Amino acid sequence: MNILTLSVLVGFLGLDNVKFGQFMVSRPLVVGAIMGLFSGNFPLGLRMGVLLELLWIRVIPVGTFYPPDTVITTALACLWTIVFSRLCPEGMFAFYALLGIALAIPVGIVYKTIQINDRKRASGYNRIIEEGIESGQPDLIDHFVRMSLLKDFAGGAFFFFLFYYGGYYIIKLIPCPSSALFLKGIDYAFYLLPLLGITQVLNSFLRKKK
Amino acid sequence: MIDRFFFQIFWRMFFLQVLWNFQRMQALGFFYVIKPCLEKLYSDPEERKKAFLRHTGFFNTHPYFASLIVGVVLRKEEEYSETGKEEILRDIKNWKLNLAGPLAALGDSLIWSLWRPLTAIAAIFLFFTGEDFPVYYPVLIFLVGYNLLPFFIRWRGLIEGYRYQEAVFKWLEGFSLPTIYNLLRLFGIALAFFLFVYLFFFSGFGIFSLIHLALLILFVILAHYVSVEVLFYLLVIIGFILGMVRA
Repeated sequence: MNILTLSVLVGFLGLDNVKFGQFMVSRPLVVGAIMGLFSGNFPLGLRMGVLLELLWIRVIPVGTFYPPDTVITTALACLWTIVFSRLCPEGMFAFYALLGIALAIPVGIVYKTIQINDRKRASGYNRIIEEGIESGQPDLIDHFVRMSLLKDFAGGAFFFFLFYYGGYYIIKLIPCPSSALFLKGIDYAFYLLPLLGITQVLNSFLRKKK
Repeated sequence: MIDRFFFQIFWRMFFLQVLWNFQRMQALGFFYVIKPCLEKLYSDPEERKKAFLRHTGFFNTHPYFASLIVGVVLRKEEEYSETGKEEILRDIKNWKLNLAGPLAALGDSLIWSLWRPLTAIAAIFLFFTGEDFPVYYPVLIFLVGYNLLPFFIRWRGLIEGYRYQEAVFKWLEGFSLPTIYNLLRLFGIALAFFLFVYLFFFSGFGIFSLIHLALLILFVILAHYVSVEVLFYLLVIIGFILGMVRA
């Protein structure tokens, strides 16, 4: 499946984050599986999704808090890992998985700031819609709802498309490591990733709510 | 009269946060949700305009539990359109604000901090341990398992909010939520603990098992102070060094 189609998919999945439904199809577990399914390696996509879900299991946009975008981050990390695991020799999966996640996290943080700015701009809609109601145009809100969804979808899709190629060429510049010792270290670091996720789960459940 | 609109309202509830903003949060979303009902209730253009403007003020609660407030407000609006009593307008404003806070707290602790991580960890547990299951099962279990509760809250909340009005908390009290909450929390802790044992102790006990345990404790403490993104980079560095030492 080509990147353009995957970008459209990412745009749709991103809407679930806050703007439409919150059915959790924007969670890393689901995004990873979908990316894997549409790029021809479902087990690998699911595996990445599971690892990223564990990392961000406590994190979700709530009220004024907006975390790094999990859809963009997961989609990029999955796709880079799948693509480069195919191109490189066996045993490189852990290296590209860690590299993919490490590069995708800053992208998710950048996209988060865009979303926060969008929320700031949306404050101006309150007055416009109220003026619309007063001047006999209450249906203005339907227009704003459609525009907001379209903007979010297009923004997510474009951002993914742009950064996929940006990251792709950066990763391509990095030579495949050949040192056995280096790869052992990388493999072990990758093996430990679920541990971080488990700490997040425990941290969430051990805090007793009043 | 309004209950004929419940399916439309239920659908529109999915868009509650579409125009979320820092100034009035879910205010425009709330107006978008109840707009078709207000159009039906008020045929006089002036009354309709006033009704619309009543619901563009600040509003913020949990997006699933908002359905209870929508139910209460719709019933009140229906009463006002029939009787024209001014005190009902005051009730609408007060109850919107009074219900929003407690329901937001309830939703945050029950859904965001408990139900979502619990269904996710159950699916992840299945991914690591359930080799006999089809590979897509974890995703299916997460999506179906998770969405059962939000759909129930959104649909029943709308109906019960409309039926009970201000006494809607009586409906919630019937679920013994503190007991359910504590049981689910313990189940989640047990799942996380078993997953840790399965992944990091299953192949045998040794010095590295103790190191894993020490790392688990360290990162649980650090998680209180540092974001998970920073912890990720830290764990990769620690893991990389340990891996090389181990080799």
